Parts: sequence; structure tokens; C-alpha cells
Amino acid sequence: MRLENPAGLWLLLGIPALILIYMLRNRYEEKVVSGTYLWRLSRRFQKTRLPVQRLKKIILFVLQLLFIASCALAASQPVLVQGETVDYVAILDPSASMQAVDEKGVSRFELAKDMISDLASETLSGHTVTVISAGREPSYLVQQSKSANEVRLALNRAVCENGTANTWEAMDLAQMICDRSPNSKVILYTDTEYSNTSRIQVKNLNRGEWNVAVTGLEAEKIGEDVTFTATLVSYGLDTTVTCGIKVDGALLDAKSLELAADTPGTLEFSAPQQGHYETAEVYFELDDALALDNSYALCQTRERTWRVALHSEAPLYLKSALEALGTCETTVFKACSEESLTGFDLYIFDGIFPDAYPEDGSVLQFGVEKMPDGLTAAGRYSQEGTLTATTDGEHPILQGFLPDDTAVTHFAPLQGKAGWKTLLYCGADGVLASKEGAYGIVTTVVSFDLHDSNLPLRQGFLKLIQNIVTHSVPSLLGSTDQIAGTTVRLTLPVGAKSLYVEKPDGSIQKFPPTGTSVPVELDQIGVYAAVLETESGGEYTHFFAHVSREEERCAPIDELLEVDRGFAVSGDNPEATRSLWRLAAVLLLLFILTEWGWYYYEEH
Amino acid sequence: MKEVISASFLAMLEARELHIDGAMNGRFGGSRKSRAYGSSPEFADFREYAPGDDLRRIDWNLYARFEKLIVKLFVDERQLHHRIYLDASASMAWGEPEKSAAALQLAAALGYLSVKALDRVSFYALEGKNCRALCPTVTNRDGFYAAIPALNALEFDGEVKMDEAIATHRDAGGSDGLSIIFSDFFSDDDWKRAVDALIAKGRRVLLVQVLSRDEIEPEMNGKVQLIDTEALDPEDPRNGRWEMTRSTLKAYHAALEWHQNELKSFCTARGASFFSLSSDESMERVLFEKGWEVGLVQ
Repeated sequence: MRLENPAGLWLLLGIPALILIYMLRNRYEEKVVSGTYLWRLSRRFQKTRLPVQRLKKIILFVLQLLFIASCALAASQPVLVQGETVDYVAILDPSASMQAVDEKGVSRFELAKDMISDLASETLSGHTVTVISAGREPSYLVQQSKSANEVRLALNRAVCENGTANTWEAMDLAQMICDRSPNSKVILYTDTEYSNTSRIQVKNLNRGEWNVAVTGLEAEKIGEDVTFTATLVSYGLDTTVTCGIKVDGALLDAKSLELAADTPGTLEFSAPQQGHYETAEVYFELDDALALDNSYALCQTRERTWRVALHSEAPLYLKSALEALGTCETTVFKACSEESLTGFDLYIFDGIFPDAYPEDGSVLQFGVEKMPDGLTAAGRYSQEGTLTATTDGEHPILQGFLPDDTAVTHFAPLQGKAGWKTLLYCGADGVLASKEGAYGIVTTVVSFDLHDSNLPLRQGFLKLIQNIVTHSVPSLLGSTDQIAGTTVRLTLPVGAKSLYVEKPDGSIQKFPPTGTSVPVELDQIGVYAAVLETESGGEYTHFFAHVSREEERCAPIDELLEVDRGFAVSGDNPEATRSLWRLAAVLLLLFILTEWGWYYYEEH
Repeated sequence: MKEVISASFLAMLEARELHIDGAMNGRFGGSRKSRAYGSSPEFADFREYAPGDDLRRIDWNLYARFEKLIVKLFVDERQLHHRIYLDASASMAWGEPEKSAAALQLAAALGYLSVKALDRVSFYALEGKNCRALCPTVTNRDGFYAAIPALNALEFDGEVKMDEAIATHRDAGGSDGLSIIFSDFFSDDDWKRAVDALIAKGRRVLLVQVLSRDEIEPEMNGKVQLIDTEALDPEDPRNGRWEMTRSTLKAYHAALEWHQNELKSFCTARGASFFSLSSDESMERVLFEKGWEVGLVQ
């Protein structure tokens, strides 16, 4: 039982006051009578009292004590905690760090399972145990089970994941149990330290184990020579680590590094003539707590050749720029034809416009004689001005492009509806707008002729064209460095026929080529391979999923997370509170009526 | 000073008589029948003539029939001497109204009825071990009226040893009248010895127990130390502590009932009479109902 208003217990001071009154009242009052003869005689006629009957003398006193006690009880607003059954809700953290093992080789995860199993065994009959796995998608392993065996079987099915714990959503599940049963007790088995645990009991399994991790790997490419730089951290202890590096599976080099505790250190590996590597992996072999972070891979994005159809009568500037990029296979057309409007990644229309825009690739057009849907050009100005960029400087098309001193003599102001973004302005009028459509297809319109501008002569022109091409023809995967336990989306181009993903353990997952992208759950740590087949060929890429930074730190961390959830345990249940109020009121009434009744009986 | 008796009450007594069952001895000149033969007009018996008999009492009609000299005998009438004892202990001054007032009133009424029947009556106060005459023997109404101030002046205080006071009373009388004791009889056994002493002398005895209302229906609760009015020292063994509960009061009522039955049965066994009254009862009711029930008043 919990008291909402403990100050009400001050009323219990009435008990010593009552005892004092009784002690003072207990004196015999002197009373003069005509004679005591009959009173003395009456002793003969008094029935012998049984010991139990002597209790009658204190009934009134006891009733008054109970009355005061029930007053105090009612004033203190008691809340019933149903002592008969407790619904234990065990939240099991299956994050990667829970795989950390101690000197005996027992992982935190196994230890947590043992603790929950012990809890289930030790609970009294009537108590229930719910186990929730707080993985990437939290779920009940077992719900309100009264059987220790059932709980053990459920725990055997529990799997430790390689990502981070989704404690917040797991607590939503715990909340549902708490809502159903007011007398719940939530216990979180984790290795994360929490500063504010609210009503949750946290069993911290972090025993400060020593762990060394490769936290990053970078490559600097100079020509065909590459220099790899690996970053390592030893959490909790000073140590010396010997690291090896494999490039495309072949051991290249090995070096030792002295690491001070909790201080990052770097190792450099030179890899001459390795500019075309696909994967490079740094690794070490140590008997530390967590093996998942003992290696780190770097995957190089494969250079892809984009097929570009350039429709222009004077393609000099654009063709030169595309060729300068080195990643485009450009075909120049003097007019639009069926051949020029299919099978390309990017269609550029410079003064030559099709009747209907192609749908299997992105579009870049110069001029406003034909406009895509949703974008209009208001006349043609013969006004000279300089280009300015939108304040949205982070847009991929504008990254690294400086429009300063770029002049335009003739242009048409662009006005786009929803979906269109104006990126470059001449004065207050938009001159470059872009829109992203399905399958990563991007349509970009420049409302002036390159010949009416000094843009092709500026250094930024090449960067702008590169940005437009790169952005218009999206790659399969944005970054090859991913975090395990997350979901990465692979972009499907138009005409994709199939997509296969090979996981680090060698298993292959096939995805249907529907939609613009497919989600891939990175539930393993290591190098993934994604293979895409399209009508025009195919491509593949490697990417690496590593342990998140938070999970690498097996030692106690400085920053503390907060778990502040208002679980509806016991006292939060208004029904329980109300019922105890009624009980206290009924007791109060009962005692006062009984006391009056007994007093009347004694007096009359 | 207590108003013992009122003129209006005395007027009511004019129609009543003090009844003494059976013949008793006494002085000549009264109106009570005696066991001896005398000269009253009331015929008693016949016997054969003996020398010395008064010739005027020979029944000549019988001589004509039986040729024997038979003389007629007549009942002798005597004057009785009643003695009224009043317990003057402190306990009689208890109650609302005081028990002493009721006792004095009834004693005066009986005294008046006595003198009205040409009997003599004496009033005595039982004080300690003594029996003190409150006034000279009352022989007529004037004497009765003269005795009233003495009754009014009676103080009720101290203790009374009834047995010693009555047994040693020199003027307790013989078989010449009624002895009436007014008391609450809240003593162990001394009243029995007093009654026996009077019976032994041939007295007719009437015990009148006078109680107050709070003695009949005590109203007390809680823890009390009872102090006897006749023993005001709390350490006196007669005083004690009681916890007043329903069972205590029940036991008290049982004790009162037992005590009254004891008085009644003792008196019955000795040929004495007994009745009990409450000080708050009307004297008319006590005298004309309870007195009539025991054959005291007609």
C-alpha cells in the first residue's frame, strides 16, 4: 500500500492523546452514597468473568483507537498496491554491446537472460513475467506468463542483435502491460547507465570490460597509390594492438600501435598501385570484450559510366564539359529521334526539344521553348544581370558552385509550382529550377542560352554540370559506410530488373524491382554486396556495416541517458485509489457507529 | 427543620384506624381488646358462678333453663403503648427527598392514628448504641401536637448500632403494643437481633424500610470509589472501588432484591411485618396501600 498524502499520518498522534485521556480518566471518581452495604453485597451476585469477557472493558478503547487509525488512513489517501500478484515486465536489451563477454566468456546478454530466468523461478505463484526484447523492432518474447519454463523457453529464442537497443518503443510495449495490470514492476536489463530511471528498475550489466575497437578507416588516393588511415581506441586499458590490412582479400601490411586508454590512435598503411581496390579491411585479433568491432572495412564506390544523349546544334561547351568529367559516354544528336529519346541515363536538350520528354532518364534543358509540367517561363528579358544562388546552398546541384561574376544577358524568369525548386536567380527572377521525380529522375531547366551567358567560361561551369549529372543519375547507394542495426535504402533506377544483396554471412536476399527504392536491414556486421540488373546492363557495389559508436564503448560512459516514463503502476490507477477511499470511509463509519452503539449499550 | 405532617394529611387520617391484630395486654382505659375479661359491653364467654362473682352478671335466663348459675363474661379493653423507633443515622438523611422526611412523616401519621385509637405512643431516635426518647409519651392529640416540634428537630447523623440500641432499651415495653422501626436496614445482621429482642418481650413488630430513589435505581457509570456517608474516610473497609457496568448494576439490583426478601422472610418467620417505601412516594399511597396490605391501617 502506498500513501498519496503521508501528512495524514499526523492524525495518528491522536492515539497517544487518546491513551493519555484514558490514563487521566482511569482514576476512580469518588462518589458519596448513603451506604455501601448493598454494593458490597452485590459482589456476591456478580458473575465470574471469563478472561475473554475482560476484553469487553477495552472494547470502547479499541474502537476509538481503530477510529483514529481509520481517520489517519483515510486522510493519508492510501493507494492499494495489490500485494497478491506482481506483474514483472523484463525489458531485455539485445544491442550489440550486450555481446561483450567477461573473463569467463559469459556475455552480458546471457547474464541478462539468466537473471530474468531466475526472476521467473523465484516469483511466487500468481505473479507473472513478461519479457520484451528491445531490439530494432521490439517485441514480446512472452507475455504475462506464470510458468518459469515458458519464460526460459522464450529466453532461449531471444537473439542478441548487432544494432542499438530501441528502448523507447520497448517501453511502449511495457506500458501496455502496465495499463492492463496496475501492479506492474518494470525492470530493464541493459548495459547502459541511466540517470533518471523514473519507476523503472534498471539492472546495469556493464562491468567495465576492456574493449578495443577500430572506429574508422579512411583512404587518401593519389594517382594509383592509396594511403589508408585506421583509427583505433582502447576503452578502459592502455594496450598495444597489432593491426593488419587486407585489400580485396589479400593481406597487405601489418603494424603495431600503442594505445592509451580511451584515447584514439591512428595507423597509416601505404598501398601502392591499389587505386582500384573494392574493399580494404583493417583488423586485429585480441581477446577483448567485444569481437564485433575488431575490424573495419572501407568500400570504394565503383566508378560508373553514365550514358548521356546531348541534343544540341552547338554542343561545344556541354560536350567538352561532359568529356571533362570522364564518367559520361556522350552521344550528340542534332535532332530528336526515337533513338535519341530512349536508353540514356541523362537527356540534355540545348535548343532542341522533343515532343514528349523521355521517361527513362533525367532531363537537363537549356531554353524555354518547351517547358515541363508545372513550370512556366514568363516572356524573355533582355536584361543583363549576374547569377545568385538560392539560400539553400546545401542543394546537391549547387554544392561547390560559386555563381559570382557569372553574367546573363537574356533569360526568361521561371515560375514553378509545387515540387519545383528555383536554385539560381538573376536579380529576383529564377533562371535555374529543378524537380525530383520518381525513380530518382531529375528534371532541370536553365532558362537562358549558354551563348547568352559567360557561364561556360567560368570555372564553376564544370562543377555545376558535374553536380547536375551526378544528382540526375543517382547511384545505387549514397554511402558505403553504414551502421549495423539500421535500414539502408537502395535506389532502383528505371528499368531495374532485379536486385540482390549478399550479406556478410554469405546469405543472399533478393528484392523485387518495384518502387523507387528498397529497404535493406543491416542486421549483420561486415561487408555487404548489392547487385543490380537493369535493361541496359547492371552495376554492383559494396558497403560496410559497422558497430555504432555507442555500442563499442563497453566501459562505463560519462554521458547518461534518461528514461523518464510515467508508467501507470499501482497508485496511478484511479480505480484502485477510489476503492481504498471507499474502504477507508466505510471503516471510519463502521467504527464510529460501533463505538456509539457500544457506548449506548454501556450507558443504558 | 422538616415539615413532618400537615393539617390536611391529618384530616385524611381521621377516617382511618390503626389496626392491631389480636388481643394484647395494656393499661386499663383503652379501646383495644384484651385477652383478659373485663367490663366492656362486648360479650366474651360464659362460666359457672363462683363465690365472689358479681351477682349482676348472672344470666338468669340460663338459670331458668338449666337451673345452674351461669355468669356472663365480657371482653376487657386496654390502652396499648406503641413505640416508634427512628434510625437517626447519616444514611437516613440521604435522597431527594430525604429518607428521613418520609420516615418522620409516616411515623407521625402512625402516632396520630395511635392517639386517635386512645393508645399511647412513644418516639425514639436510634443514635449510636443508644435509644433516645424524642418526647414524652404521647397519650392524646394535644400531646401529639406537642411532640411534632421534637420530631422536626431530629438530626440524622453518625452511625447506629440498632441491635445494641434496641436490646438495651429499658422502656421497650412488653406485650402491650406495636414496635415500629424506621430504617434502611443497610447493615449486616444487627437488625435481626433488634427484632428478636423485641419479639422476646412480646412486642408486635413492624419494620419499615425507607429507601431513596437513587438507592432503588442507582445511576452510575465508569470507575467510582464509593464512600459510605457513615464512613467518610476513604480507607474505611466499607468503602471500595467499583467499575459501574451493566453487570455491576444488575448485581446491585439482585442484592437489593435479596436483602428485601431476607427482611421479609425473617419478619414472616417471627410474626413481624415488613414493608418498604421510597422516599419520593406519596405518603397517602404508602399509608393507605402498603399499610393496608400489611394490615396496619384500616
